[in-house]
This record gives sequence, C-alpha cells and structure tokens, in this order.
Amino acid sequence: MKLIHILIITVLVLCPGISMADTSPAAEQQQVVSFQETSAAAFSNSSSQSNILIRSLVEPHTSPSPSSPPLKGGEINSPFPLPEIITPPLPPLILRGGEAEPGGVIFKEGVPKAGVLSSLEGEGVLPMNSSVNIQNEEAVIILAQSTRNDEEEITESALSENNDVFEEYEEEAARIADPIAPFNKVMFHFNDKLYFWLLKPVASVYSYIIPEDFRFIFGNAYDNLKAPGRMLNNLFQPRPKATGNELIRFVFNSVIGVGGLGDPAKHVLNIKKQDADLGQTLGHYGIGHGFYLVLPLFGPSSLRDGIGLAGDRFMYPLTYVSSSDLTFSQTAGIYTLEKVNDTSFKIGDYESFKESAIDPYVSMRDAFLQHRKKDVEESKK
Amino acid sequence: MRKNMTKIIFILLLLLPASAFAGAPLDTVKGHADKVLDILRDPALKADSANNLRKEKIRAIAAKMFDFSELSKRTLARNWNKLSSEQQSEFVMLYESLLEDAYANKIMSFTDEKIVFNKEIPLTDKTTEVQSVVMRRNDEIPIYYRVILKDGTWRVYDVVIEGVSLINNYRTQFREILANKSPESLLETLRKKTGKS
Repeated sequence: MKLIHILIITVLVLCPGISMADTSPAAEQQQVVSFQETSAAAFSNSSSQSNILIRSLVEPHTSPSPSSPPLKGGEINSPFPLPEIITPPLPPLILRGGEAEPGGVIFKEGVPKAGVLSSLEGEGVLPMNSSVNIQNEEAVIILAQSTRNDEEEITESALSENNDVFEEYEEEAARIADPIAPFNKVMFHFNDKLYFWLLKPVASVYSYIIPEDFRFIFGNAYDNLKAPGRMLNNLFQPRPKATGNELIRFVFNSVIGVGGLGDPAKHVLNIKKQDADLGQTLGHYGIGHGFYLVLPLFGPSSLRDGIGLAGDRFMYPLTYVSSSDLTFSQTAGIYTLEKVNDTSFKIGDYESFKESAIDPYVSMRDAFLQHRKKDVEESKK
Repeated sequence: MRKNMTKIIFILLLLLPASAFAGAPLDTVKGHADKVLDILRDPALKADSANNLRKEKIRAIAAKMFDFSELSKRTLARNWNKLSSEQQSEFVMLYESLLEDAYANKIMSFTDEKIVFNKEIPLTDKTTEVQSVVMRRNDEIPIYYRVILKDGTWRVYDVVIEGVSLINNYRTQFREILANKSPESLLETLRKKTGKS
C-alpha cells in the first residue's frame, strides 16, 4: 500500500503534465489520452497524416485555438521520456474494437493512473499502412476518416502556433524608424572610410609611439572631465547613490588623482564609474528615439540621443574653457587627441564587427538600438 | 517518524528539476568558453600558419557549446517557415559557420583579459542566462550566454554582449534581406560570406 503510494507519487513528480487531482476518484472517470513523445516530435512535419491526427487529438473539440500552448523546440526533446497528458473529456469519437484505419491513430482511453502511461509508450502511433485488430475491452479510440476533414485547418493551426512562438521572439527585438536612411547610409560610409583611411592609421602609429600606460592616463583625464555630466544625469534620473558616487569620484580623482590622470576612486575607494548621459535620461522619462540618425564622427545615434549629445556638451567643462580661453585649433586638438586615444584601445573591434555582419549598416543600427535600450532599462533599476 | 522522514526526503529528491542532474548551466558554458580561450591563447596556435587548425579546434567546441538549430529558428523566427526543409538545413550549416567566426573573432579580442562568470538567472523552466564579465583594464564588458536544456545538456542559443543579442541582431539583418528577396538569395549571400559558394 505504502509502496504503491510512493510509486504513484514518483511517477506524478516525474510527469510535470499531470496534476495531483488526477489521482482522485473523480479523475478516474476522465479520459486520459497519451501519445508517445517521439510522435510529438513529428509535429513539425505536417505532411505525415498520423501526426496531424495526433494533433487533432490534442485539441479535438476545440477548434484550433491560438491560446493553446505553443510548440517549442525544447519541449520536443525534453529530458522527460514521458508523453504529454491531456485530461479534458474526449469528443464522441470512441469506437470499441474494430479495425484501425491505415494511418489511423490508436489511443487508449480511460487511463487514470499515471503509472500505466509508460507502458503505453510505443503504442501511440501506428505505421501508416498497418491495420491492427483490437479486441481489447480496454477501450480504444480510433481516429479515422472523420478527423481528416480538419486536416488542413489543423496544419494551419500548427503553423500559426509556431508563428506565435516566433512572434514572441520577434517581440523582444526593438525597432526604430529610419526615414532618412539615404543620408544615414552616406554618413555610415563616411565614418567607415574615416576609420579605415584616417583614424585607424593615426591611432596605430599613436599607440606604437605612446606607451599603453600613458594612453590610459590620457583616457582617465578625458573621462574625469565627463564626470560632471554623468553626475548630473544620474541626478536627473534620479539615482542618488550613483550621483553621490560620481561626485566623490570627480572630487577624489581630480585632487588625489591629479586632474583625473589616475583613477584612485576605483582602485582605492572601490567606487566604479556609473555611466549616464542625457539621451538615456530622456529615454528614462519615456521619450522615444524619434528616428535613427548617423552622425559624422560620433556614429550611430537618434534624434533623441543626438539632442542628448548636444545637451551633454553643456555639462562638459571643456566646452566653457574652450569657448573663452582656447583657439579653435587648440580645441580641435583636444578633441582629436581624445578620439585617437580612445580609438587606440579599440583597433580591431570595428573590423570584427564588420566581418561578422551580413549587412553592417543594419547590424550597427540594431546594435545601437539594443544597446541603448539596455542603457535606458538600467536607468530604471 | 523516521520512516516518514526518509519518504519525505525521497520525494523531495524526486522534486528536484531535471536540470539539477544536467550539470549547472554556468559550469557548462564556463567549461566551453575556457576551452575556446585556451585555444586562442595557445602560443603554438597563434601563428597564421596554424589558422586552420585553430579554427578546426574552435569548431569542435562550438558544436558542443551551441545549439545551432535552435539558434537558427530563433533568429529567422517568423521567416523560418518560408524556407523549405532543405533550405533550413543549409541555413543552419551556413549560419553555424558564420557564428563560429563571429564568436571566435569577438572573444579573440578578450584573450588577454580576465573573464569572470558570476551568475546564472533562470529565464523559463528550460532556459537560463549565464552572466559573465570581461574585466578590462579600464572597463568591464558584460557577456551573457542564454542556454537551453535539451537532451540533458545545456546549449547556448544566444549571446548577449553589452545588451546586444546576437540572434536579435542577425534577425534584423535577415529580415531586411527576406523582405525584398527570396530565401535562396539569402542563402547565396551567406554562402558568399562564409566562403562556401
């Protein structure tokens, strides 16, 4: 008695499809239809009749409903060697005894105990041309000609279910309008050529001459100048802790790190940089991209992020210094050094990106979009 | 009482999801990624003459690490059914070749960096996200592997680098091609790209 209990529970636990209620006496009245898992794997092959019939067994009385569980690849090859179990009452398609139609599917009904299920394996589907005599009183359902009328409809439903899964995948992807694609493509090619013809050769020579440690120091200094912008945007979003961290970082790195040449805030205080920009802040408040925009030098952007980029300039100390105290060429020199220094760490990235893309323009647009989506989502945490 | 306890423990053991026996997703992905890095770092394989050998070795690991048919289906999504079954299997093959190069390329730039696998987050009952971070001197790059449990093993079906999902990115590209062109011309493009025309 106890052993049987354990056995039943064991089987139940191993069959996620069965609810506990099935063991109740009431459930014994219900018809349980099972089919071998491998036959389910053939679902995708809608040309095979028997598969369609199985499908019709799964949802025989409900006309193909979009709400039925979608078929996923993963479910087919599930580690459970047990079949799916469907509990609702079956349509009045039950014949007792008789001969199965070739290509028909035979299912046992009235199998309330899950333990019996495993013994059913292999009995789910009959080969197309076999005809089987069934003398067994244990009732057998034969789905024959009558269900074949639904065939086409069912095939369609199988397809649309697949599509439902696919829709799910597609929904994850963000999209952006690209009404000025011709302009963007020109800019994309401009940036591409700028990189290969100018930026890359210059940065290569630069990184050859300037030791890496110095390049890191320059990078730190430029990055430190952006701390006020990060701090303000963190404040706008509002992320108080990140705001405080950026404030501490800016003061600490400027003083102890001598104008931000080092990053002692990270190494001594263990406070990491918390990126934030105006485009992200705008996104945080629900403002969409508008449309895609490729900017010369800056690369992929959007109307929103372009405005953000312009706004961020007002939070950049150099903007105020250069407008009053520096000549145009000095300002240009500072920005050029920043770009070259930055590129010197990234040589090869763009090449490998381009190599792995089928359509680099589309790939970059999508990567920009996904990346910014992540930035905005992170600002909400 | 003691008998009951044994029973309860027995039942609790059975309640453990199958994934517990399949090996943790994180360990699986980490094991594969470490092997790829070992190959990329191997000084004997660094020379240009060893290029083919290196690729062959990475290919062998990638075949175990990734679930290319799942990847293909999820990438093409709605368009998957537009391909005939022959086209589908050719697509899987070409896409596999493309991705092996792309992944090797991407991870190649991280060979000198430390890669830390820090956590796994279950997405559904059969999918998990394994999160890793590439520690660079001046920044950190998050790389997330999305894995699916099939036949008792965890296989990668998506790689998300800095929020950019590989399959989403390719899906957008393929969608644009299939919007105006036939599946055959998509395959032709892929053949050219992977040098298998």
